[in-house]
Amino acid sequence: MNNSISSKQVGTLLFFSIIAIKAVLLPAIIYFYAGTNGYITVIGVLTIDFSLLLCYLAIMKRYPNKTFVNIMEECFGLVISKVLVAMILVYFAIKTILMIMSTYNFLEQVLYDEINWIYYVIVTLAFLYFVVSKSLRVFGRSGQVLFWIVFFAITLVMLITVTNTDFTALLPLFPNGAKPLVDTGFKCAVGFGDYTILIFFLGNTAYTKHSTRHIITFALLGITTIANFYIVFLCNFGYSVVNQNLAIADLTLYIDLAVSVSRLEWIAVFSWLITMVVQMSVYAYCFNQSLIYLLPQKISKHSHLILVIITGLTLIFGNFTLQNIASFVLSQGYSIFACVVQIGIPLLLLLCLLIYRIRKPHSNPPALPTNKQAIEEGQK
Amino acid sequence: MRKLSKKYIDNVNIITSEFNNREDLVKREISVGKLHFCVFYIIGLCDAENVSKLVINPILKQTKLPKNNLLNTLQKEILVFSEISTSEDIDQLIGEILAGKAVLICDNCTSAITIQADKIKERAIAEPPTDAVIKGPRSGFVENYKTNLAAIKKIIKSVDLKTINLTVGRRTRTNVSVVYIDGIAADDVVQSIVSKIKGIDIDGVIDSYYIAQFLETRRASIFKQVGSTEKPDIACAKLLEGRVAIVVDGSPIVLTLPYLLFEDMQHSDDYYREKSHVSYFRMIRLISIFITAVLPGLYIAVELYHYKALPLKYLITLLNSTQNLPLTPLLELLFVLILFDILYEASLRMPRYLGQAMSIVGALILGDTAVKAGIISPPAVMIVALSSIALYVVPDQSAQFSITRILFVFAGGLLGFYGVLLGVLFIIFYFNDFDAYGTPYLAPLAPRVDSDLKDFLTKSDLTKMKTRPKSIPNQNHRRMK
Repeated sequence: MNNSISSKQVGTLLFFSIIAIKAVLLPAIIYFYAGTNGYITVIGVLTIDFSLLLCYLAIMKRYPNKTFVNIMEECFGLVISKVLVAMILVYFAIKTILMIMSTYNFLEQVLYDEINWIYYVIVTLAFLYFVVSKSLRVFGRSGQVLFWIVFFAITLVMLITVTNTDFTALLPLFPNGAKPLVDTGFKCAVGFGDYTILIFFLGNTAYTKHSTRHIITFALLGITTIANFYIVFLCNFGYSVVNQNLAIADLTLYIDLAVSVSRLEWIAVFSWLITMVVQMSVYAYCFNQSLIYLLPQKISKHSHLILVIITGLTLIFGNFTLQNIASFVLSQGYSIFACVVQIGIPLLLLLCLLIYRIRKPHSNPPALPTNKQAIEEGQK
Repeated sequence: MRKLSKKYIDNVNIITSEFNNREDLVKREISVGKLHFCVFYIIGLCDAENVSKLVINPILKQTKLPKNNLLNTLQKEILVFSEISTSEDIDQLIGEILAGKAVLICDNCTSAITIQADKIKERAIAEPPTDAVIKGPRSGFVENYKTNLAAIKKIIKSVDLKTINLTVGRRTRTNVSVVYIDGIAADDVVQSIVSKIKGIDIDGVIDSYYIAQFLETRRASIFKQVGSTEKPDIACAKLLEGRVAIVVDGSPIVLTLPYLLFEDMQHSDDYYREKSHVSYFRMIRLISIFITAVLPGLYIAVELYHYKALPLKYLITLLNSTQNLPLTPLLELLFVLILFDILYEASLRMPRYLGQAMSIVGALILGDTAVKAGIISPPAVMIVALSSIALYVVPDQSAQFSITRILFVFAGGLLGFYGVLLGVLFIIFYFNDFDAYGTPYLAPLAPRVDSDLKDFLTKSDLTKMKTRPKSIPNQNHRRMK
């Protein structure tokens, strides 16, 4: 199965990763804890995340053919590699479940009078079962198909709401100092760590001399879009922002143009739903890849079935609600765990770069393929 | 391989016995001095008059023929036909007789002469009914593969145009030609197609679709995987892009590979009309596919789960027209869809003189009576009618999208917008996993190939299309300086 993905495709998936969970429940939570300066928290954490992206890009550029597992095994051995992958598995399992529940919550509140939970879980898991067995190439191409639809829809919605925006709501800056903003960033770690998915893109990306530029461009696009979204959201709702639990659906409700055009929020709702489902699929893919590595070879062939069973049983019999899941992921324990994975893994990769350099100081990295070779490799 | 013996009588008896006393087999024996000859051919397939005039008569006029070097003498000095060959393989000779050629068995010769005297009546070259154009060439392929090959060769007059001739079908021995341009088409694609066709072991091939099914990489899929065309100009255009054409005797439809989903949205006269006009209509075709596949599912989702999405005035109209119906909305829509498909199938099969009367009955049943009787609602009829009309904007995709829309109706009926959305995403992921003959199914959209976007949804000026599409594997990208 060809697992090769081009850097532009990586970029589109990163864009979805940055947008997905931040556009619904998280704005209200961030503004609740950080106050009206919540957008500064978002920009700050996105900046930290962006620097972690550079760690991933450094190892991708230097060793384009080495996967995360190869690197960890070569540097730290099999045991530590398995421990790390087990942590990553738990991380992505929680994220997958959170995405499924967030989407259900959104559908229940915005689109449906009533939606059967069991139906929803079965259909969603059936979709995930189909999707996680696909190669990274399929994800990349699907991201390319959907990217422009999502990007233009979200941008259009934000542009339209500018007419109703009061930018004075951004002030005052730091009324309670910087500590609440930092604490909020730590508390809401679950909503960030967008580049963690790159763990499974290592070794599978057709890396060329333009790849760094492509990936950074898409990442910056995502960061700009979501930062603008948070600013526009605050400037539309002011102090009542903490009551808007469904940010992207609420954004266009009160503007004149929306009233005359009618159902304008549906554009944003659908584009966001696409983002959530794609992101859910990517997290499930990462979950699946972790399972494949950890399980014995005979059983790993059925990893996607095991994933669906674990997730299904957890969702149906775990008796979770979005509230108790949210309390869990906003707890200090989980925030520490998330930071370890989100920050620790890229720093570990930087350490591996150093280890490789120490071991083989004079060896040259393999030559980067030309753009044409990479396109052909990415297309095959 | 069974070979001819030197004994004339043995050879004649073997061939006669192979045909098991078929009444349409003609066995004409002639002698010149002590030398004996026998001409075999099948009535109806072979041009008997020309065989008599140009084979039998010239031989009979000879007073003396050399015993040694007889075949050479016949070929070079006596027989008048332009296409003759020799063979010593009995099975091949039998195949040639069955294909409509005449076979001449000669005394003292271990080879026989095959004469290309086949004459099969075929229909006139006409515009294909499924591919009418306003501007551009109107000729179409016919059932005779030689005529079809000639039509291609008439347009591409290049020594690089190659054909690989194969025979498929144990009983039909259908001639299949793989046509490509050497130096443009990728060699591995050609070899892959040839080896797949050679591997077909089947009783008979009646139409090119038999071959298409063996060339598909995903047999269980409902989606088209092999391109087709009934027009020589389109086949040639595809050959020039690096594709391979497969011409099958007995079928007016020529297959082309590799196949891209979006090539069916490019109509044959797109290249003979103004580009802005073409770009506009290509977008209309894309919207039509969306309307066909997704609109019924969206309608049912709105009716069952998302009525809030509708403006109040329309919601009231919809509720008024759908109240007191005996069927649930999902069943009602499925019923109307099936009714339309019955009408479609009946209109294809019924005799023409009944067509007009039945279409009036169908329209009355659907358009008037069923609605007035309160069995179905006008919005359902309108949605399905719109979907059905949009289906034939891209006729080559009609089969798969008529099934897909039913799946979307179920998705929308069971889970509303979310179900429809999952359906759309499922199809996108599914298509992106489709790669055949080195070509991604959704190219040039995914993976995005910027240079190919000039002839994708919008059409650029021909002067700007200097390279061949990179989505199709080819050896030579440049086609214009």
